[in-house]
Amino acid sequence: MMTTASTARSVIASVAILVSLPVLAEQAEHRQLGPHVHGQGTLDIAIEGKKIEMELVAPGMDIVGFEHVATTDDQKAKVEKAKAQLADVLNVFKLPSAAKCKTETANVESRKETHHPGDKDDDDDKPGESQHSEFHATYTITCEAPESVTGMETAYFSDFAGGQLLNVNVTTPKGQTQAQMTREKPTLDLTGVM
Amino acid sequence: MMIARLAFQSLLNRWVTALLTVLAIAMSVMLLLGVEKVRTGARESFADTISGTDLIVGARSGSLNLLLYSVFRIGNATNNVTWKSYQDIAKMPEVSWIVPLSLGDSHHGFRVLGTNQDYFTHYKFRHGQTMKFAAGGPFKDLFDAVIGSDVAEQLGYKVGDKIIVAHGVGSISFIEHEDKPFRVSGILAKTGTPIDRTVHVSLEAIEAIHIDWQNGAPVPGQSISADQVRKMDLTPRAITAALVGLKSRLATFKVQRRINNYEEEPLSAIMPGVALQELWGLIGTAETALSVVSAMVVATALLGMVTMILTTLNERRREMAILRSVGATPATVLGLLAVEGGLLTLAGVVIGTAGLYAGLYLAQPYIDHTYGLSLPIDPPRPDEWLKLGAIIVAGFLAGLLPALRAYRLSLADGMMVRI
Repeated sequence: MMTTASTARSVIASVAILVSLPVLAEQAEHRQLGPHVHGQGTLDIAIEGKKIEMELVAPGMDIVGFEHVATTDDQKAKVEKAKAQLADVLNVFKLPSAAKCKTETANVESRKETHHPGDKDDDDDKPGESQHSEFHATYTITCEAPESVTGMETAYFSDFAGGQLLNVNVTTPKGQTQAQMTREKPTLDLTGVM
Repeated sequence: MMIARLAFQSLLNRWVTALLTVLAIAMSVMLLLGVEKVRTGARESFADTISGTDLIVGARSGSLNLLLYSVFRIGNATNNVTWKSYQDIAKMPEVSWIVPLSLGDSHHGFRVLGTNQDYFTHYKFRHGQTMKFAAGGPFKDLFDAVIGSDVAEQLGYKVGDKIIVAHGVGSISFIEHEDKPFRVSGILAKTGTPIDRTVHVSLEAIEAIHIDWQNGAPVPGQSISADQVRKMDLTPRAITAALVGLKSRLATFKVQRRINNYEEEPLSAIMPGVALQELWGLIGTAETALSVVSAMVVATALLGMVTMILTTLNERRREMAILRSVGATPATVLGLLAVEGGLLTLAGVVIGTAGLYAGLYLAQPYIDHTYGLSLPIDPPRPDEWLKLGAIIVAGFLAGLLPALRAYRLSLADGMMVRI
């Protein structure tokens, strides 16, 4: 049997639920953020046949030293220079010359990390406001002798003073692996998976 | 050359102690190389557990956790994946095949895995091998089960036997699905992977045995018989994880990112090879510890050799005196003992290496069958040759220690007037 007190409590509870419903509805938007670690970027490499697809995601801090929207001419120039450097993929990530690789497409953009890859940047960033921004670069490379891609040497760390580490994920016909390229060891050994 | 022959003859004269010393060194070398073989073998066997799968999808969690519970049946899922999300992923244009996995029940301590027929064709191990049936075939009826070879061996099951699945994963079962027994429809051939220790049933069967349960326990008086359940809708509501194969490897990262950003449900997609690499990073320290221990064993064996040569020096004063009397310089005596140390170590290294390979050759099939550990029989790698060379040099140098003592003694002995 329900006592008066507990009835009162359940009435209060239902009122509370009713009151909080609109709030819940407002909160039903989807929120999630990827990790963002200064000094660390990610390089994904997928190799199939003669095709190599790579994607680089690096914090703006690592590439240009700031993560707000570029406002001054100096900052804008920095971003443009970095984009041009990153677009020249075979100079940033050097593949063995025996593999005879050439760049098919290179696409570099700088965006806020709340954007999902592929989303259009709506440019609502307030100038000077501090927030995390990232550089996303996607590359398609074809190699005449892909079996010669046994490793990689990167100029990433000498080009960009803020970069300390690149986590490299690789998938090839022989399997998948993960490795790190660092300022001290800017090379990648792929002999195990090629 | 002369010195080497003298050293050899001298050793022959004390062959029992010399042989024991050589054996001690041989054993330590076997251990040093053996640890390395087991280490690489274990890594390969682990890595060989899954191949040909591009992504594993589960509830949002760490990649290691997901890999361990979905492939190695270690630990448990943080959450389930809804059937709707599973279907959404299956519908992605890049996805070539997808195999659902549903865990949570057990049979005498062996995990029960709910899946579908595709599992037997798409799940690959050891460089793309698929599962083979030692007897029977895949499940056809709702209450058919396919068991791994260890399950069959340890519980003595044959095709056609009835088994009862227990709720939960403990080896002592508190609640059993005894009203719905399964029939063993097939027994898989040994794979050397966790498949051997798994009971496979269909997803629908997992759903069927839980259909009259509520909140993880049977509801009294509400049991639905096995025949009634066949007529019901047995579409699963949730699965634990899914294995995904893609049409093109190039899409791996794209699909992975899309699943990780899937808005309707927090999911994780991991690349099994990458997660394994993370695992090696974790257990690398333990592996280093093993190598250090085996290196210390080699040092101990060399120390034993020095002790042996030193203790016999006293008995060999006569030998030294004779050598000196026939014109051997103290330097010759020094060389003689150093070469002795080198010879003993060389013999130890050669016998140890030969012994290891002989042992590997003999025991490999047995170890592979019993433990699923395939130890590689390949020639020593460059760094192993280097280690072996370093041991021989160390033996030679260790031989110098008693040699220096003999050098001093032989001088003193030569000068002393004996009565």
